[in-house]
Amino acid sequence: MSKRIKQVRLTTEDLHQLKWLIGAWLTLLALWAMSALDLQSDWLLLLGAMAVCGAFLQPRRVVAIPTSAWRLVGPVMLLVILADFALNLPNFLPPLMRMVVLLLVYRIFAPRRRREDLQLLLLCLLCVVVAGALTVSLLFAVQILLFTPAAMALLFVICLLDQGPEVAGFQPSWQQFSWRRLVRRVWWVVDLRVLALGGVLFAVVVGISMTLFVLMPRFNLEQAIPFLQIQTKPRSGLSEYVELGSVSAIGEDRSVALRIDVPSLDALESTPYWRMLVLDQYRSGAFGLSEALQGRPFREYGKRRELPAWAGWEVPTKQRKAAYWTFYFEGGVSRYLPLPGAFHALRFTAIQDVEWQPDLHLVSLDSVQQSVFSYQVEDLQWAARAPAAQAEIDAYSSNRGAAEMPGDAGAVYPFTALELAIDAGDRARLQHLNRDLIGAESDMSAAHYSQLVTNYLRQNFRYSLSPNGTDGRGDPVVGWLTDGSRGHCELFAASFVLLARDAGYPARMVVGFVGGGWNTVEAFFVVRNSDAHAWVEIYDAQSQEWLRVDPTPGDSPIDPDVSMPANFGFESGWTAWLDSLRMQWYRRIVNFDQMDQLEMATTMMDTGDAFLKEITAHLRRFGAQIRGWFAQPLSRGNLIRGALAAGVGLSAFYCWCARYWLLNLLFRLLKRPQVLDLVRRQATRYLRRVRGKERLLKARDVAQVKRCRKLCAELEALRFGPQVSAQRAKFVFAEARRFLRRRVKR
Amino acid sequence: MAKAQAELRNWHDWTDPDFFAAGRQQETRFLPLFVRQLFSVEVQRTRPTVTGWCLILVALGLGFAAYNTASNILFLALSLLLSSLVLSGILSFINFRKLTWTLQAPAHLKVGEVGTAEVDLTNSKALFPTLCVCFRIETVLPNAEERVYMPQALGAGETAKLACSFMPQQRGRFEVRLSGVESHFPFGFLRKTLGASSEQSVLVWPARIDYTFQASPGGQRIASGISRRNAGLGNDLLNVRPYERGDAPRLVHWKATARLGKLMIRQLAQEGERGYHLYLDPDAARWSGAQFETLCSLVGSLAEDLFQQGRLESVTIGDADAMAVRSLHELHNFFDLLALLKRQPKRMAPISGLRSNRITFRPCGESGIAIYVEANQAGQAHH
Repeated sequence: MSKRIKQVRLTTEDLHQLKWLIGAWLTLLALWAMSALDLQSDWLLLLGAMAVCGAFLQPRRVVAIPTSAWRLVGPVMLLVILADFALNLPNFLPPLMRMVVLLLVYRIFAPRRRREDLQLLLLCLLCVVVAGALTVSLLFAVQILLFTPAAMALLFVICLLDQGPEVAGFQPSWQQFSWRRLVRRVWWVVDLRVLALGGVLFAVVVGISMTLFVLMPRFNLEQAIPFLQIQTKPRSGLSEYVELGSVSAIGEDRSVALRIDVPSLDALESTPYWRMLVLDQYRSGAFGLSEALQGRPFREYGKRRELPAWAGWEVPTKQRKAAYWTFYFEGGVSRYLPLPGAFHALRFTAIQDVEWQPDLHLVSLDSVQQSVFSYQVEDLQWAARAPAAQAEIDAYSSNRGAAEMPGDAGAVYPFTALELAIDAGDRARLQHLNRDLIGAESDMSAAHYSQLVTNYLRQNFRYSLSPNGTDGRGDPVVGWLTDGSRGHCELFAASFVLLARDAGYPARMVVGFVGGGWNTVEAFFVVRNSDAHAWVEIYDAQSQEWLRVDPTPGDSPIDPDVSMPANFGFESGWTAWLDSLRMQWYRRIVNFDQMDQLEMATTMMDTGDAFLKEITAHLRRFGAQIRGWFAQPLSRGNLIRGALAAGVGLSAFYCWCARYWLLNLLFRLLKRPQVLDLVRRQATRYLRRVRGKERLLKARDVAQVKRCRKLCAELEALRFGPQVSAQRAKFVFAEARRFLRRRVKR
Repeated sequence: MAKAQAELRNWHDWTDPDFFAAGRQQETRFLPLFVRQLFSVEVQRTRPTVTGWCLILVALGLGFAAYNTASNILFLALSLLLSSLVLSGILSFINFRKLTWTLQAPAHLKVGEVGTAEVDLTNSKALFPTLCVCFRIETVLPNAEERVYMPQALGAGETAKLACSFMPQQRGRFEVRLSGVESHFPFGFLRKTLGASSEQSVLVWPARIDYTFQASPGGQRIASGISRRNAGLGNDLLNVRPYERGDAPRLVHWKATARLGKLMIRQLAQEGERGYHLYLDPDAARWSGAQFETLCSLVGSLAEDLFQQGRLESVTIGDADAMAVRSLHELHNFFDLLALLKRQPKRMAPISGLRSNRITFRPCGESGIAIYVEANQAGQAHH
C-alpha cells in the first residue's frame, strides 16, 4: 500500500477562529444591507461597521475585555433601546432596526458559543431580508447570494465543532493569532476539488431555490403588513408645494426615476409628458395644490387594486388594443403616479391605499414609497388635451376674467386657476405685457393665445438653470418677465400661467417628467430625474378642454395642438446594462405573480409540445427519406452512397471492438505511460462490483458462489497478473457482465 | 434489543443510504413501506435540532409574511431557506452512504481493568468524505451510554478507529453495544440517527486479590531431573503436536513446522513436583454473595499464579469433570467459566479420589476464605 501523505487538518482552535471570521463577515453584510434603509441612523451604522472592522483586525483586544463587563452591557443596552422606542413611537420600525444593529454589534464583541452564533446568524438574516423587502433593490440579490454561502459555512463550522461537551467549552487563545496564518491553513485544507464541489453545491442551492420560487403557489391575500413601511419624503419639486427652482434642482440628478415596459417602441407616438401633479395655487413665487384639492370632494380615497378609466375621458372601444404598459416607479420620488394621458384601466399588484382626483386626472398613493412601486396601465393614450370636469366648465363659463376674482379672499378650485395673488404693481405689469401680446383682442382661443405667449417667451428668454431677474422687489415671476433674460422651466411655466390668468384664461402648472430614453439592452423606456419638468395646462373654453402648453424653449412646438414625433435617446453601454439588470430584477423577480406562473407553465407545455412535434416530424421525414432511397432504382450514385454508409457503420463497429487498443494508443501518443493499462483498469472496476455482489450471495447458493470466486480469480489475474491482450480480456469482462446482470436469489 | 434487531433485519427505509443497493430490498409492497415512513421505528430517526426548529420557525414566519404581503423578496428568501434544507438532506444522505462500521471489543477483561472498545470505520465512497459522525456506545455493567465523536473527517477510501474506554465493575458477561450512529451533518438542522445492531460480549474475569498461600509440597516427590509422562515445563521432549492457541512462541518446533507446513509445538515433560488440583464448590449454602465473589477472585488469582509456576494440574468446579490446565488457552477457558459462575443450590459430591495435592476452599469468618491443601490450611484471603 502506498504511503499516504499526511493531510493538513484544521484544529479546533482554527475552526473557532474561522467561525469568528465568518461571523464578522456576516455582520458587515448585514450592516451593508441596513445602510440602504433610510433609518436616520447612518451614524450608528458607520460606528457599528467601524467597530466590527476593528474587532476583525484586532480580535485579541476584543477577547481581552473581561467577561464581567458584558454583564453590565446588557442592562445598559436595554435601557437605550427602550428609550429609543419611547421617543420614536408610533413609528417603531426605525428604532426596531436600530435595536437590531445594536444587538448585532454586541453579539460580535461578546463571547459566543453555539447558541450565540445562531443568534448572530438570525439577526443577520433578519437585517438582510427586511432591508431587501423594504427596498426591493437589486442589491438584495447580491447580498443574499453573499449571505447564503457564508451562513452555510458558519453552520458547517459549528457542526464540525460539535464534538461533545469537552470541545463545547473550548475557548481559543488569540495570543498567537494571525489572519495570514489562518488563511494559509484554510487554503491548504481547502483544495481545488473542494472549492469546485462547493461551487457546484451552491449552484445546486440556487437552482433549487429558483425552482421553488417559480413553483411556489401565489395566492393574492391582498393585505400588506402595515408597519413594514418606512416613511420617506418626496422630492421637493414633485410634491404639493413647489417653489421656483425645485423642479430644476431635480434636473441635476441622473438617477432613474421611472422605467416603463412599453408594448412596443412605436407605441411612443410623440414626446411623452409624464404628468404627475397639477398645481393650481400661486403664492409669492411658489405653486401649490390648493386646500380644496387636497380633500373631498375633489379627492377620493379608497383601497383599490384597479382603477377604471376616467369618466368622460375613456379610450374609445375601437382604439383598445389590450396593450399593457408596466411602470416601475422608483421610491423616494413622489407619491403621485406619472400618467401621460387617458387609459382603459390602471392596476396595482395588490390592493393599495390610493387617492384619485377625477377632475384633475391624477392618481396618488397615500405616502411616498421607499422602494420601487409598480403598476400597470392598459391602453394608454397620448393626448395634448384633456377634458375639463363639469365643475370646471360651469365655473369658467360663469366667471370670465381675473378681474372678477376675489383678491385675497381665498379662492376655491376651480377658481384658483384664475387667481392672481400679486400686488397691483405686478398686476399692472402683467396687463401691460398682455396688451403688447394680444392687443385688444378678447375672443382669442386658448391655443392661439398660447402660441403668442410661447413665442414671446422663447424669443425673449433663453433656458438656463441659473435664472436672473428674480431678485427684485415684488413678485419674482413678474420681476423675471420684466427684468430677466434667462430662466428654467418653472419660470417659463409660471410666467405663462400668470399671463394667462391675467388675460382671463384659467391656467395651472403641471409638474412631472418629459421625454426619456430607450434602453437598447432590455428594450424598455427609462425616465430619469433629470427629465423632471414643469409645463402648463390652459383651459380652452371653446372645446371645454385643458390644453397642454410647454413654453420652455426646446423641441416642443409652439402650437400646442401640434404633436411632434417622439425624439429620445438610445441608451447602451455599461450604465444601460446595469439598468437592464435592475429591470430584469423587477420584471422577473419582484413582479413575479400567479399570471407569470401560469404563463411560464403554458410556455413550457407549448415548448415541449412543439419540440416533440418537431422531433416526430423530423423522424418521419428521415424515415421517408430512407424508404425513398431504398425504393430508388440502383444507380452509381446510390451504390456509392450506400457503400460509404456501410463503411462508416463498419468502421464504427470495429472501433468499438478495438476500443482498448485505440485508447492505449491514444495514451501512448499523449505520452502518459504512467496511466494504468486499460484492461487492468476495467478489471479493477469489474472486480469491485463482483466482490460487492459476492457479499450478497447466500452461502447455500453454492453454484453462484463458486462461479463468483472463479470470476474473481480471473479478474484478479487480469488486474495483477501478466499483461493480457484486450481480446482475451473481453471474454472475462463479458462473463462478469453476465454475472452482474443476474439477480441475487432472495 | 431483540425486537430492535429483528426490526433492523426487516428494516427497509428509503432514507437508508443503501436502500437502493441490490439485494437489500425485501419488502416491495407499497402499503407496508408507506406505513413505515409514517411510523418510524427506533432503527432510524430524523429529528430537527434546535437549529432546525429555528429554521422551521423562520421559514414559517417568512412564508406567512410572504403570502401576506405578496412580496417576492420574501418568497425568494423562503425558497433559499428551503433549498438549503434540501441540500442538507442530500449531503446528509451522501454522508452516511457506503459508511461501514464494526465494533471490536476485547474478548475478556478483569474486574477493575480498563477495556477499550473500538469502532472500525470504513468510508468506501470514491469521492466524498464522511464528517461529523457520532457513535452511541452502551455498556451494561454499569449501564451507561457514551458518545464517541469522529474527531476528523474520514476521507474517501479511508479507515479510522474510534476508541471508547470502559471499566467493568463486576464479573460476568459485559455487553458493549453500538446502539446508534448519528450525525448533524452538514448544517446542524437535522439529527439523523441510524440504528446499529452491533454488539460485543466481553467476559469479565474476577479481579485479582491478595492472598497468602504456603503449602508444603505433598505427595510423592519426584527427584529433579526425572521426567514424568505428563506434559509440563520440563526439559525433556515429550511430544510434538500442532499449535493450539495460547502456546508460547518459544515452544515452536521450527524444523517440524518447516517439514509439515504448519506450526508444531514441542510438548515438554513435567519435571519436579506434582501440580495442584483445584476444587471449587459453588454451593450456595456455603457461601454468601460477597464471599462467593471473593472466592472466585481468589480461585482465579491462585490458579493464575500456580499456572505461571507450572504447578497447576487441573481445576474442578462443582460436579463437573476435572479440567486439565496445561496451556494458557485452557487457563483462559477456566477463567471464562469463573466469570459466569453462579452459586448453585446443589451441593458438590464429596471429593473422592485418587488425586493428591487437592486445593479446596472453605469460608473463614464472615468475609474470609481459607485455602486448604488436602486437609491442611495453607493460606487465606479476605475480601
